[in-house]
Amino acid sequence: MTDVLAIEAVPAAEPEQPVGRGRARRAVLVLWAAAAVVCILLLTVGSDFQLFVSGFVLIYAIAAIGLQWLMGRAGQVSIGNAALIAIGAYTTAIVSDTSWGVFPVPVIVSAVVGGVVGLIIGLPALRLRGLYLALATLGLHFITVFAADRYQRNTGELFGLQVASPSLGPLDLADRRTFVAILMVLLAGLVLLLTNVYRFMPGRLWSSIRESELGAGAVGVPTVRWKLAAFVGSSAVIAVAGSLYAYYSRVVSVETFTLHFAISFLVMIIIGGVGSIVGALTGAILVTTAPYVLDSVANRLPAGGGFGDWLDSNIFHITNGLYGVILVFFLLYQPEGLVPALGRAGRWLSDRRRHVGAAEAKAEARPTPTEARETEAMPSRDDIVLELAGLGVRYGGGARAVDDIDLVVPRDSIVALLGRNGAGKTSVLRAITGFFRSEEAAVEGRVLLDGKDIAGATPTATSRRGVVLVPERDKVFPSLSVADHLRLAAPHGHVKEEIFDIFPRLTQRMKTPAGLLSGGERQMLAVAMAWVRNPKLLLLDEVSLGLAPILTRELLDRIVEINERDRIPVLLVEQNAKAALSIAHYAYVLESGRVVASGTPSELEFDPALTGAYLGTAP
Amino acid sequence: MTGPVQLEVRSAVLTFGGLVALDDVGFTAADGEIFGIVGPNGAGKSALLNCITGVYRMDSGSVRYRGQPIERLKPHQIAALGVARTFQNTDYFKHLAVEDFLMLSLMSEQPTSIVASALALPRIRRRDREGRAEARGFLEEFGLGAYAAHTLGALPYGVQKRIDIVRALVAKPSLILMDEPTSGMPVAERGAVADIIRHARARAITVVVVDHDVDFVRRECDRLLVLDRGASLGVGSPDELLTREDVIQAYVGV
Repeated sequence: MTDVLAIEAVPAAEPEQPVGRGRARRAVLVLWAAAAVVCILLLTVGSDFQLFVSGFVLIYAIAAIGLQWLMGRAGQVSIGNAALIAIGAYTTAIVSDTSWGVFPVPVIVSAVVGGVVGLIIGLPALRLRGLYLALATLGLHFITVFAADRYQRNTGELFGLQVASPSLGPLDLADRRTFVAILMVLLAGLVLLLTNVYRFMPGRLWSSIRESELGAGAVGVPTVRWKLAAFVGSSAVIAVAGSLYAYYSRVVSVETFTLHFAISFLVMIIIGGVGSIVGALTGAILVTTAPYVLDSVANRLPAGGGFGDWLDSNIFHITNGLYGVILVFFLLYQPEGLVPALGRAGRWLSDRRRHVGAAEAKAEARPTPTEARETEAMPSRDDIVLELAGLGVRYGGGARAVDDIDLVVPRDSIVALLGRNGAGKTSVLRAITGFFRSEEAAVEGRVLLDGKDIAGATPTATSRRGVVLVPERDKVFPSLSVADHLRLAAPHGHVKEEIFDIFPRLTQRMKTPAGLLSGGERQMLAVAMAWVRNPKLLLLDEVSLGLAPILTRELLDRIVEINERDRIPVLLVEQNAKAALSIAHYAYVLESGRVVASGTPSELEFDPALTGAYLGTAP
Repeated sequence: MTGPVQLEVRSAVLTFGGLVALDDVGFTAADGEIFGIVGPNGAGKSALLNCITGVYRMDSGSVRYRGQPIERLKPHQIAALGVARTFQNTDYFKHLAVEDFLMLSLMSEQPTSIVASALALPRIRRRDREGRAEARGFLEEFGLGAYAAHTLGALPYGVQKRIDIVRALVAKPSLILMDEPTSGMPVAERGAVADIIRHARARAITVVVVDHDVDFVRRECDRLLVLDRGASLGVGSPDELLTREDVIQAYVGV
C-alpha cells in the first residue's frame, strides 16, 4: 500500500486563497478615480440633458445605498422606500416655506423625520421577518401616499407643492451644474462614511444579524438594538434623497410616489448586487438611465408611424415590463447581482492566466496509476452497476475538489467511500447525481451507470434512471407525516408490505409528523423513502452523522438488510470509517480529492498507516 | 466535585406543545469542571443548552450562574455575563470572514459607535487593529492562523467547528457551553477539539459539553449527566455512569 500513499507526496493543487487585500485596495482606488473622471467630464463638457439625468442618478443612488444598508447589510426587507422618499420630499417642501427654510436645514430636518419614521417601521420588524415584514412596509407606502394625497387636497395644492429655489451663501443652487456638483460631493461623502461603518464593528454586527438573527443573539449581539439602528439610519439616508429630490425637481406631487417607483429601488440593488455599495450604485445608474436610453433609441428610429412611434408612446409600459423580466432573471440566475459576478469573472480571468502554466507542468509530473494491479480484482463489466472513470470535479474558483478518481460499485454490493471532511466525498456524490447547486462546477471523466455515461445529466434524469440519494441533511418535510413521506416517495403511491418487516420502528410512527421524529428516526425514514423507490443504486451521504452509537448500529443493520434481500447496491459515503467498514464489502479512501487507498475492510483495517491518518480508527 | 458552584440548573421543565423536552432536569457544574451531557438523539440535550443560554424559556425551573438567576435574561445579556456557546451546525454564519466572525466575540470590548466608525477616528482604527490581532492570535494558537481571511462557509466542516470553538474562547468566558463539538468530525480531528478543551481547563474555564462520542466524553469529562427522553438518568463520574445497565441500554447500546 505504500506506493499508493506515495502519491500524496506530490504537492496538491494550490490551496484556494481569498482575495488579497492589496488587489482589493487597488480595485477600489481605480473605481474612485474613474468615478471622479466621469463626474468632472459631466460637469465641464456634459450637455444640459446629460446633467439633468445625472442629477436623478445621483439622488436615486443615495436612496439605493440607504436601502442597501437595510437589506444588504442588516438583512431586513423593505418596500417602504418610495414612502420614505416622499416623506423627505414633503418635509422639505413644507419646511422650505418657513423661516427654517435655509438650505441645508430642510435636508437635515428631513433626515431626522425619516429616522423617526424608520424607528416606527422598525418596531414591527422586531417581530416580523421576510415576506411579512415586506407587507408591513408596503402598509407604510399606502399610508404615506394616502396622507400626501389628502394633504394636497386640503391645502389646494392639487398640482403639487412648490419648493423654493435653494441658495447657499453666494452659491445659486438653482443652477443645475452647481446642484449636481453638490450632489456628487454628498454621494461621495455618504459612500465614504458608510464604507467606514461597514469596515468596523457595526458592519460586523449587521452582517451577523443578516446571516442569522438567532445565531447572532446567541453569540452575544444585541439584535434588537442593531436592527433598529439599521432601520433608523437607512430611513434617514433615504429621506435625505427625498429632500434632494424635492430641491431638484422643485415640485413635490403624490403621483411620483407609486409602487412602481418603490420597486425600482429594489430592482437597482438586486441587479447591482445587494451585498455591496458598488452594487447599489451600479444598479442606480442602470435603472435610472434605462428609460432615457430607450427613449433616445426610439427617437433615432425613422419618424412617421411604425416601430419608433410605438416605442415612443409605450416607453413607460416597456420599462415596467423590463423591470419585471430583469428582476426575475436576476433572482433566478444571478441572485448576488451584477457586481460580484463581474468581480468573479475578473478574478477568474487573471487566475487563468497564472494557472495555465502551472497546470501544464503538473500534468507532466503526475504519476501513472498502477492499472494492472487494479484490474486483476475487478469484476467483469456486466457485474458493475456504477463505474467512475477518471472523474474530476472543479468548482468555479479553480479549486479541484475531486481529481481523477476510478471507482466501481459491483452488483449486489455495499461499497464505502471514506475520508475526512473536505476530502471530496460529497462532490463525488454530486457528480453522480447531477445535484450541483448554482455553483459553476465542471465535471471531467465518465460516470457509467450500467455502462451508459450519465456524467452531466440533471438530477431528474439520474433519479429516473434509478439513482437514489439520501442526502446529508434536509431530507424530511417537518409537517408531513411518516406515511405521507412514504406515499410520496413510492411509485404510484403504493408502499410495499415488507416495510413492516424492515422498518418496524417507523411503522409504529406512521401518523407522526416528521418534525417530531428524533434524529435517528428521521434518518431511518429517509432510508425507507429511498428503499420504497426500488433504487437501482442507493447513495447514502453520512447517514451516521450526529447519531448515538446504538442508532447508528440499528441503521446499518437496516442497510444490510435491504441490500441483501432486495439486492440493492449501495454506495455509502462516511466519515465514520468504523461503522462503514463494518458493513461494506469494499472501500475506497479519499484524501484531498484523490483515492489514496482501496481494499476490503479487513485489508484496510489492518493497515496501521491508513487507520491512523485517514480513518482515525486506531485505538 | 471540586471548587465553588459555577452553574446550577434546578428542576428544568420545557415543553413544546404536548411534547415534553425536559422533565425536571437538574445539575451543577463547579468552577473549572468539564461537565458532559450525553443521551440518545431527542433526549433533550440541545434543549437544555438552549435553556441555559436563554434561547428557550423554560416552563419552570431555575438556572443560576455564579449564584445569579439568569433564566429570565436575553441571550445577549447572558453572553455578556461571560457565558459563551458553540453551535452544533456552523451554517449560521457561512458568509462571514473568519476574522469578522471571531470579532463578534469582542462585542463588549470593542467600540461600536456608528458615528465614530463612520469617521474612522484614530481610536476606532487602533482598537480595530488590536481586536483583529487578538483574534488572529487565538487562531494561530490553535494552528488555524491560515484561515483568518477565508469565508467561513468555504472551509471544511471540521475546521469550521474548531473555529467556532475558538470564537467562543475569544470572548474570554468563564463558562463555555459546547453543542456536539465533535459531531461530523473524524476521530483524527477530534484530538484538536480535545486540545482546545484542555486549553480551556488550563485557563480555569468551566465547560459544559454535549456529545455523542462515548470515548471522547469518557476521556475529557469530569462528570456526566445522562438524559433519556427528557428525563435525567443520573449525574456522576463517566466510569460509574457509562457502565450502568440502564445507561448502556438507553445510550451506548453495546
